Amino acid sequence: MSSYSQFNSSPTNPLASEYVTTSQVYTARATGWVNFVAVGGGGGAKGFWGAFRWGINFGEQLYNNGAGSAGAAGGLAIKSIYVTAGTSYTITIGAGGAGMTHYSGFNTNGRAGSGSVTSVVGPGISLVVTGGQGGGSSGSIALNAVGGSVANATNVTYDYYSTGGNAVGATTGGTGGSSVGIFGNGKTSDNGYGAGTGGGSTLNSNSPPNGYPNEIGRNYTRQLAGGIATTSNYCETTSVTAANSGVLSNCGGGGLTVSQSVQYGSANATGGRGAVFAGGGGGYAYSQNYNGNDDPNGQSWSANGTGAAGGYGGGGGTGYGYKWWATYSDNPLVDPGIYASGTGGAGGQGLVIVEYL
Amino acid sequence: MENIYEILDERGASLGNIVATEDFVSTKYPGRYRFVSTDNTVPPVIKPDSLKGRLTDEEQTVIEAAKDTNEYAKQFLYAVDGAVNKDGVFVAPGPVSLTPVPSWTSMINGLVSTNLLTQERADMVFSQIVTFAESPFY
Repeated sequence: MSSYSQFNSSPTNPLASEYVTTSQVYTARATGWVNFVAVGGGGGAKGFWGAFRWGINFGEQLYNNGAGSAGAAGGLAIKSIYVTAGTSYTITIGAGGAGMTHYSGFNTNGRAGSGSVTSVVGPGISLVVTGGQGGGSSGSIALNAVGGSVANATNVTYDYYSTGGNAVGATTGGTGGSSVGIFGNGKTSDNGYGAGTGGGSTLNSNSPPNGYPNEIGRNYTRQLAGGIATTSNYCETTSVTAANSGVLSNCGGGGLTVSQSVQYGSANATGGRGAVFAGGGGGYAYSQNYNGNDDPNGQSWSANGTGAAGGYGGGGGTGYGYKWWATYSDNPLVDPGIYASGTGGAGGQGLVIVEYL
Repeated sequence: MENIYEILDERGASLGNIVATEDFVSTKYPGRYRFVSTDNTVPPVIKPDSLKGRLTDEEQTVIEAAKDTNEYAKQFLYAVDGAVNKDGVFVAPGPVSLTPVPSWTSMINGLVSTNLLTQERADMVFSQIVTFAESPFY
């Protein structure tokens, strides 16, 4: 497999890179060497939720919960070929998988949509890159999602290829989606605890690898840190959007936590969208309806976590709604309400970049 | 217009969804595709006045004050506020794609290069997730 330094080396004509974002018959507009970079669609995320209640005698009880997981990222492959101006190549752009919402009271099995295949087919090339799997659940168990890869994975077929980041089953907190494998295989989604977790950056750390400057010679790759999880406790507003969206290419969307704690009210949290190749941020909303007194109306407050969409090829982030309701009525049959929900972000669509070298 | 279409094999089984125009799928996969949805995975679209609303009052004041001397400020305000065309008819601006469309990118970059907006704020304006209230569908 070729080193990614090949992918990152400064092209002689950096302005001649083209993004192809919709399927088409592409006609080479010059004669010479060209890099085709193909990315499969990202998988959508399935949101998850938990509803808890607390009674003076029976303590905290889990009333019910619905599992979910973030979306996995699409695979990536690169092939350099010599093209002749006017030659046609069929480029098919895989769609990202749709996200799935999971409401309390409507627990569902199954997966959010998986990303689809992106391909480049023509004289001297047959790039076929699969999409990332959608997050999902079976009963109360979250399912892992597998990143996209390539068909016929040999170096004869590809000059470089990598597997999109997987996504692990989410358990607590909003979980960011995974990223496309720009530097080796893609980053697996993190499993957040107590905070909405940022979507996977294409980097495995928040600083560039050795030897790479902050700004790489390609106009579509800038290395910045992935989104950072933000926690907003005791917030006075009940709906906040993450400020830490992925800013430029490679940045995961920021996660967000909104905790409407020790006061009555609903909580809504939305993760930040992932930038190109990166996963969407997770959103974690926590609504604790207890103020030292019985709250007979506690059912009506809601907790709605929303994950954000992945960037091109990135997996969607999950949302997690956590509702905690206290009552002195101590009636175990009292339903804490159906007001916890998690919405999964969509996977990013696939992409082909055509680079004239 | 780009949409998401499901591609089917000869037996009607799904081969996956692609982003394409109907011209493409009807040519490449005649009789073997079906419409799924408008493409909801591409970067969101924001109303121009909402884009302007992402700027602080101070930033808006600075740009407004520069509109007669700074071409980028003039272009930006034209785009986000709408304008009166040469025939005196008000032209409402269309939605702004947050994809790095060259015209918008050049406008924002121009504001940065002429010190009307910082790079950090420009990045934030373009990357912040679009709320429903900012979308053209609200």
